[in-house]
Amino acid sequence: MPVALEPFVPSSGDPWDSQKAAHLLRRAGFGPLPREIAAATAVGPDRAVDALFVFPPALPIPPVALGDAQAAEMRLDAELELLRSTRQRAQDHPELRGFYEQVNQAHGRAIVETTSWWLDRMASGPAPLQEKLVLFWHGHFTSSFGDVQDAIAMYNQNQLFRQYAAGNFARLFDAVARDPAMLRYLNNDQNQRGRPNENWAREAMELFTMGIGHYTEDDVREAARAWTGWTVVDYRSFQDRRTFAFKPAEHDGGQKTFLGQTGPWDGTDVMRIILATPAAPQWVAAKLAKFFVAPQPPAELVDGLAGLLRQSNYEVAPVLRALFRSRAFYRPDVMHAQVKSPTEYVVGAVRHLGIQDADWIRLGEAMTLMGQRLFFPPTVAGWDGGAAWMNSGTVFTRSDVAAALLVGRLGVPNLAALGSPEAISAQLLARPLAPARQAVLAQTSVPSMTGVIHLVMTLPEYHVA
Amino acid sequence: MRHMMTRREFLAKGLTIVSAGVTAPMFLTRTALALNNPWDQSLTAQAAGRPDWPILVVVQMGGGNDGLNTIVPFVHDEYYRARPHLAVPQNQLLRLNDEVGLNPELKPLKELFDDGQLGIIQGVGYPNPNRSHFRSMEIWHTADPTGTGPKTGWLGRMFDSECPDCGETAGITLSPEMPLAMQGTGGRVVAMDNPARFGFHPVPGAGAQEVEALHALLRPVAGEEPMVDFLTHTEMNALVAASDVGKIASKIATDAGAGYPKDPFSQKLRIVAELIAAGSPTRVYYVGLGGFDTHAAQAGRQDRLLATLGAGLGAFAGDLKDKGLQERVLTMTFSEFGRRVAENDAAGTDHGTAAPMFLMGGPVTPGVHGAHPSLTDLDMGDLKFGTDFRSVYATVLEQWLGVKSDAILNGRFQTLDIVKPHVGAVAVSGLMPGGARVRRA
Repeated sequence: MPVALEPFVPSSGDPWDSQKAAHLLRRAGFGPLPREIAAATAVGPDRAVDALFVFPPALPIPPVALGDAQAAEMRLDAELELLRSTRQRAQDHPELRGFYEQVNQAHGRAIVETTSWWLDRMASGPAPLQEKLVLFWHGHFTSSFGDVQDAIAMYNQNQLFRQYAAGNFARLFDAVARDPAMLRYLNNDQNQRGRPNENWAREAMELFTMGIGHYTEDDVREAARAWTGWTVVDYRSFQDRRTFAFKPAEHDGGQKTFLGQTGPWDGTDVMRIILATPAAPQWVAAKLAKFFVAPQPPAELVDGLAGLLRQSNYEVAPVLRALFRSRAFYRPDVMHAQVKSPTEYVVGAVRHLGIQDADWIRLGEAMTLMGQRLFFPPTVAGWDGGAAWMNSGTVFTRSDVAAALLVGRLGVPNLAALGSPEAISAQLLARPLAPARQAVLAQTSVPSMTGVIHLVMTLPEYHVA
Repeated sequence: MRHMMTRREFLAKGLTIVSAGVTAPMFLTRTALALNNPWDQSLTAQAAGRPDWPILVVVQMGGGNDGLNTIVPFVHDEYYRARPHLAVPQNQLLRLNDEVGLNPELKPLKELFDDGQLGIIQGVGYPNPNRSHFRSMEIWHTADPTGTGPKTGWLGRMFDSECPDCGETAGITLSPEMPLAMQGTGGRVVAMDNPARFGFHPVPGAGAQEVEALHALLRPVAGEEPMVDFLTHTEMNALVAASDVGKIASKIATDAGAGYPKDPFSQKLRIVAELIAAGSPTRVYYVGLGGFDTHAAQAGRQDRLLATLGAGLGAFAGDLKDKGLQERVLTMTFSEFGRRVAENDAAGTDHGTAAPMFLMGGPVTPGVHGAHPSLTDLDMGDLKFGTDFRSVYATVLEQWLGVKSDAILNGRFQTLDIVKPHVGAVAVSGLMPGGARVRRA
């Protein structure tokens, strides 16, 4: 194990305590509850980390609204098929507009329901780390429903991230390169021999694997040629449009020089060449560290994670295990160095307040105002994270959402466990508060318990993770 | 109910200058210092007389707007050859001169052009253009193509050095994210979507006592972790800004909105006009319209976006005119890059380089400025820029906002004849005695 990733060994001077356990569960999940923190404290760091990696063997069943979207698609497909069989053109049949409209509306409802379905899994699913990794990959290999306009394709991509959550990055990269939502989002479905579209090729290098400075504009053009013909089956039916196809006739099989290597490369070769560069594990490790450790993670820690990623042939689980067990992960300057994302804030708040039947639809809308609308990343670079989450506007939106949750406007809260100001700050923050702030809370004249909880959920200490 | 302490009360109660042992970031000390500034009152309170500092509205067209289909060089056959599917036919264009015409979706801008309220700067870019959205956007925001300078924005640096007493709402962005362009070390910029909702609202039943407790809780604590420290100051500044905005929001007409389309972009411009009219001490407003990354099926999509842009800007200009504000507000558009000259085969265009910018309002020198970039002398299939965007910034800073640009832009950039010199106007620092720099006559 590299020095930077030496394991944390509990000692009498530096024990495995509830603060460290809470830190682990916060970073690897969403808003840990007191009993979960107590359990992780009791079993020690090794078993607490092991427990995080127990993912359910099967993928969850999809939200119902996807079926409605598919039904609307089938009605439209049947109409179009009928026209084709009688050699009529769709544009001569304005009455079809209603069918198209139904498909659009059904997909609009389906993406909202899929968002709720995902948020609910984060809050109460069996594997918080798996969902945390799905969120990580969604911000890394970004696609937006705004461009893809297909909730089923977005759901499939979300399940892909779940399937590979802590799996092999090289295999995930390959799967994403064939993922219909991504093909459409970055236009590789339009990338054809003699008519290259370099959008995917560029972002695959700049944002997904290497970062600027490790390739040239010529490399972008050559990689785009290599990925020609990686597209979807057809646009005639919705199902075909959600199915990957490699089309040899649209593929440019000529010689390409990519990152200094010349050959008749296709997309697979380009990915192999990229992943063999030192830049790739470094980039992926830095992204993981930025998400799980700190906005500016220590360089030696990133180097250590990159080395592990290379050694493990891009297996993510051993890298994350080493990170979560490392002494560096529990350094005081790492423990509260993150700002909760809107997802972490909202899901954590719902858990902390024991909200039953949370109104995920409205909570999802509120997250838009906080700067994170799931399935709609703002750009292909995803969300900046860290301090960028917080400004004068988002601070107040978070506080407003906390108030709405507390008074039961977004589900039924259960505040029984939160009896006194001390219990509130201990359970919600899972850390000691500066004595001056603790004193203000203890002596507060705020007339209601919900007021005190609301204050705590507005504190800077509640926004950090 | 709305209990808002005044800025003075807040600073006195919640801050009491920085205590020993606490390292306060720049912006906090500055806020504390502003307390002792005798002129502060004239800015935060609505001073007698009409505010007359210049106001800049920045409109960001995110994703890389295709400049060639925005300002169309119809006289050049190369344009039609490069764009067999995407070219806008000459007879549909809104002709601006003998060389170029506006995209027909921009009809409201054509009316402003004819009315002397619109300037177009052609071929704006920078050396060694970067074709990455993020890097190029960062370059436009930081005004630093080398990437070696501080990661602060050009407007943020302007607030820091030229506008230290413009209050906590010197810049307002109508979005949840704070654009890098507005970020300096001072943190006196506000992100909000609706001024009427902007602020801390206690839970029912907790009322004023909760607000008071929050102020007490947010007193900086010695030895806090940096992120807690940062958030403490972010929240404190937000409370001050909310108090300032609260005074303004109460004056905003609730029946506003006549003449504006319903889309979010236009509605943000409506809010900007309302804030200006209500006397907000804000100097710069920032509004975004995204989605210009048209790699495929560009025609319908860019058309819709340009129609949104044109209708929104047209309504905004009309509203400002009705409110008698058109001489006080300069609106500037930009995009991180234009797009490649040749269309791709998905009827879209890939990332390119130089593109036009719009300047709108009473202060502009109307007309088409700068030469259209050559369609034959290309750099890897892309247009070569003729005007450095930092010259446009320098002009806006010096001619309009009335401040020196060299330090903000880290260099001397030639100013352009794109903004009308305006006799007697005060500088961005507004009513600051001694700080006011009168723009050249």
